[in-house]
Amino acid sequence: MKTQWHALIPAAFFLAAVACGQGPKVPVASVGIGGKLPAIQLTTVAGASDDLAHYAGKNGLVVIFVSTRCPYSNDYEMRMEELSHAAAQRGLGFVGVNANRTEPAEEVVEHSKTDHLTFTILKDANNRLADILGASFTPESYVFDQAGVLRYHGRIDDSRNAGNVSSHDLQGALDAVAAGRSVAPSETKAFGCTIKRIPGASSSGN
Amino acid sequence: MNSLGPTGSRSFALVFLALAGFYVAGAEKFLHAQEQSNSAATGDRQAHGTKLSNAEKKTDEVKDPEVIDGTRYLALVKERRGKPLMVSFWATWCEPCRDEYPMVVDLARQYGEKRLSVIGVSLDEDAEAGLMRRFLARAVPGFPNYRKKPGNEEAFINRVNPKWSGALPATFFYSREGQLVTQIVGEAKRETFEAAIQKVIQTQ
Repeated sequence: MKTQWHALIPAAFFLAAVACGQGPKVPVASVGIGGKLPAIQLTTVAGASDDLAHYAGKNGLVVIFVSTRCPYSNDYEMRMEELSHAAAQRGLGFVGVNANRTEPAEEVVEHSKTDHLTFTILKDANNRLADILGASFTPESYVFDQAGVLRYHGRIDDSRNAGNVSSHDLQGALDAVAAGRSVAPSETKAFGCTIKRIPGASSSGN
Repeated sequence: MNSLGPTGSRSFALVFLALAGFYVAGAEKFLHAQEQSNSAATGDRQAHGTKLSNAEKKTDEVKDPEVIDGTRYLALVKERRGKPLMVSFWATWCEPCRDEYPMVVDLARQYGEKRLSVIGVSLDEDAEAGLMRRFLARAVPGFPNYRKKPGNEEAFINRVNPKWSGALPATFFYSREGQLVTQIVGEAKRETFEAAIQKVIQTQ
């Protein structure tokens, strides 16, 4: 057993080194506030293609870009889990999207198990959705209304430390969308680890 | 649909745990690995012990960087007018930042305090303060470092530069008059840094 662990160390360092590389520049979003939910297929962790729109509830859809390895994103996981339940109660769907080239589906499955995440996480192969939405970070959130119109984009809240949150931006956005009210502010700055993109993957298609 | 068999699952779990360990411990393990590597090169167990205790001593000697908000940051830039200024924004949880920092330290030494002021601003949380001190003890930057007041990154980022997304690492270059001349967001080669430094040094 000890030998196996030793054998894994170089692999772990190799993958970690790959993970730290700076990805290509973030494309300008082609879907901004007021834009429509992209008609795009993502990949389930089991490897099947599925329309993103299938995950919308009757009142809309929350999309959050997530990571398995980013400490910043991981500090938000409990809040994401709570928000997924809040979204369900308000008739909104909720999906996490992993667009990191460095984090395979199997790792997403293990991570969800380890961290007790129950919401669906889809893989964004070739970072197509991340490019369309101009997503830069994990975590970075988007709220679409019942008509599939983007009403909120940005941070989950204003503090990585859950004990110091004073502005619950994403919660406010999904409350407003569920109630048919306008979201204010409709855009905030997300912050966290950068999404590890595949260079040139999105523009070259599948 | 899961294509992993029991053996595959176990192997994957081992790889995943190894990776998770690396990331959770982050810079902590990176630093420790460096120390072990340095020690192994000497082939001297006694030296290993000495090195570790020296590193620990150095960590103790590193003072807590001043915690700053956006207003204090702008004041710091203003205080350094009269000389070009390079500001490096980094965090211990940001691996590209950890990779880049030694180069920033080296550039600061190369250009010297007479030609270029350099400061660092860490975006580490309170819980990462110990790790940050240890990182600084190892890096021996030779220029002042500060730490962003935890929380509300958006307000801080917008005070520094509303056009900055907040992506790390980020380096900002100010003229002698305290005007932002250029910036590098994300990892970049040394030549890119040198070109930015030359540009800011030549700006009147």
